[in-house]
Amino acid sequence: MAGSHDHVEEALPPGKSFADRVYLPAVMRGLKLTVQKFFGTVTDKHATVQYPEVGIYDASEAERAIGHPNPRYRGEHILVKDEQGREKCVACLLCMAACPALCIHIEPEPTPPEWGDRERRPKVFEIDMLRCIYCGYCEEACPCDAIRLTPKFYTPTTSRTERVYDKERLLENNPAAQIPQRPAK
Amino acid sequence: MSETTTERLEVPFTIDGASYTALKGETVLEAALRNGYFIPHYCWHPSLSIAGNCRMCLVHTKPGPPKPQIACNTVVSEGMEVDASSEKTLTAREGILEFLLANHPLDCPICDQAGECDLQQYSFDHGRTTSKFSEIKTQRPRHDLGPRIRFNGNRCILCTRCVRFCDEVTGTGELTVVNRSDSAWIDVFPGVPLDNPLSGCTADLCPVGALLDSDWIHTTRVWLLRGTKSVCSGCATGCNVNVEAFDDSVKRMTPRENQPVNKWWMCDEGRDSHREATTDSRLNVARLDGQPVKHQDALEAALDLFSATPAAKIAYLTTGHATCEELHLLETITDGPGGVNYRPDGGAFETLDGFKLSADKNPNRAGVVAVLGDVDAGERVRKGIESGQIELVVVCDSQPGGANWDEGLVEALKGDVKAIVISLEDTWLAQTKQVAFPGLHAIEKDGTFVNQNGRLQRVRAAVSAPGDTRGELDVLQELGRSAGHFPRVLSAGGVFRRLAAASPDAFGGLTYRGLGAVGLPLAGAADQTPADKCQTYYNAGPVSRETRAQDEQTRVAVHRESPLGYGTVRGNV
Repeated sequence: MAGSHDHVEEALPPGKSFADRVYLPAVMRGLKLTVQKFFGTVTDKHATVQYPEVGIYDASEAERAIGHPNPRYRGEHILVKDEQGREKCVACLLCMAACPALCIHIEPEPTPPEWGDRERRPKVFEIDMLRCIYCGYCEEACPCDAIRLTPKFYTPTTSRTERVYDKERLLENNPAAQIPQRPAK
Repeated sequence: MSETTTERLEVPFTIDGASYTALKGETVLEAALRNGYFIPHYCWHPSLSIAGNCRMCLVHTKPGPPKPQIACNTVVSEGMEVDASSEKTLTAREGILEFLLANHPLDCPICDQAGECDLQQYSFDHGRTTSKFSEIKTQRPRHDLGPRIRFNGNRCILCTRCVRFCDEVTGTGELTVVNRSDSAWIDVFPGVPLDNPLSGCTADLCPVGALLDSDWIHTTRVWLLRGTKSVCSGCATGCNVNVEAFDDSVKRMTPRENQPVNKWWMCDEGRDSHREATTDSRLNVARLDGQPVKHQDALEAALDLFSATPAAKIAYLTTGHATCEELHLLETITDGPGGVNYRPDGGAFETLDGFKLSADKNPNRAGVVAVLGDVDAGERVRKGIESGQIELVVVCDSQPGGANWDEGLVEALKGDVKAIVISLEDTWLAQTKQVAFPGLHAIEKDGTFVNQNGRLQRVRAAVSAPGDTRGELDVLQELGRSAGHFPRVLSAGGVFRRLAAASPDAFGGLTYRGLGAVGLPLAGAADQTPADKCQTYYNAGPVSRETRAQDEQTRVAVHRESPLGYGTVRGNV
């Protein structure tokens, strides 16, 4: 229940007291916040950040590295590697089947004989990030924990083709790589 | 079997309290399936002997022992009460599945049978949700049984369908069960690989992913495939096939049941026949004097050539791979003599259950006879060219590898005679003659073939043709229009209607739509089985039960770059 959470302010119905009926105290309370934030820009307590030069919250360095404090944010995908640096994906095509946006395209191929531990891997693994709706069904469908959604969201490109990620790009899709660089002056 | 059923006595019995009629001597499973009551089973198949080793079809019967019995080997007696869905029976079924899954690796995500796997389906329908098994699973070998079949022992449930197929259908007997109990597996005898002409059928019969077709393995998943009911163009048998494609490329061909034609089977050569459509030697661009040009430019040149020549001076050459519609168009638009080239005979094979793989490798030799009547290998065309009576030859060569014309005819064609060539392959004729158009392979075109027993069957386009290929029907009709033959463009069905009107002796009474999935016999054909007798009632498909069910559905192409677009239905009846 909402009442069990201390930080949640319950929206009470309008009361019957004089102060409630004239609304002025409530208006003043709101104005107080506005004025606080207004002078906050002077005292270096910004309500906004200079995105993309800095991360959107003034958080720790590690969190800034991924640009967002919430590790559960569903951003771009990464193909997970195993201990030997090979992709964990076995090209079962279940993510492709689960994808409601039809943005995943995989072509399987047999693994090299020296691999031994699995029979196939993806020859082609492409995700069309423009079509993707970042629902995370692929992550959920994956039986091998081979695809994950990272909190990476800072991904502007200058062409549509760049938004179709191939296997190599997905394997190296490190969320830390999106630390926005301050433009050189 | 169906011919004798009317003479057999009928026996009343009940399944779960509902009354049904069995035929005398029929087993519970057969009677249930014939009446539309599905009892799960693995090892039973209508074409094979009863093995009774999967124990999946357990039912309780009264009169009968207190234990459950296998429905596939229990003969129905008068007034028998079959209990196929009580808690007692379902518990027995659940127990059987538990045993079957005890050593099963559960590697469905990487198993190519997933999606058409009976073990997967029955586990979902009848199995337990959790496993009580905590021991280490046994490891059985994984190896190639032959050039085509890959075996994964861990997935095998030892139903022995493949073993019985090799013993009872092909009669080659390569497979056997080695060892016993949980360390048993299917294997070949030393030095004798599984390489009979029908070896691919063992993978189709396998209800789990133990035997897989290595030709198709690791390429795609079955739920992505879109099936098109067509006919194999590999030989004169005309096996009914399901051409399964994804992303506009054929991934595999599986047989469809048609009792008088191919029973449940098809040969390995036929399974590979779709590769003829993706060779490098294919012609995929129109040519004008050997140079690649746009289709329209080539068509204009062809029309000039065609309309400048009197019809009596135009001959045609074709192959045993042309559909009846193409043959009819060729015959209609030309008045000169015609010639047909046939592919040389190949290997023949006959199974013990009467499926005949024809030595004649031309899918439409009987159609040539039915449409064109008496036509030679091009002798009259040669004489016409040599005597100057023939000025233009329309060559319609859809034979994979290119037609192998007689030497005399080749010499004559190399002369001054003009030619309009529609060719599947980039042959010397296409490269040297005036106009050439790319032709279609049987997996890309619509039409009809007549098989060796005179059964008229439809081929359906499963994938689109490469490049700017318009196909034989389109080009021939364009040519015919310049001579006033075809006022408007006709589909294959429209041409067939004209063919049926023009040749009522053979094609009278037949309609293109009426051919359905299993075809109809021509008048006077050797095989006169009506369409409703072509399939047995067992709901036992050539591949597996689940695939058979999927054949009936429309598989949807799911791909962002599919030229057909998402959800497009193509090639269905």
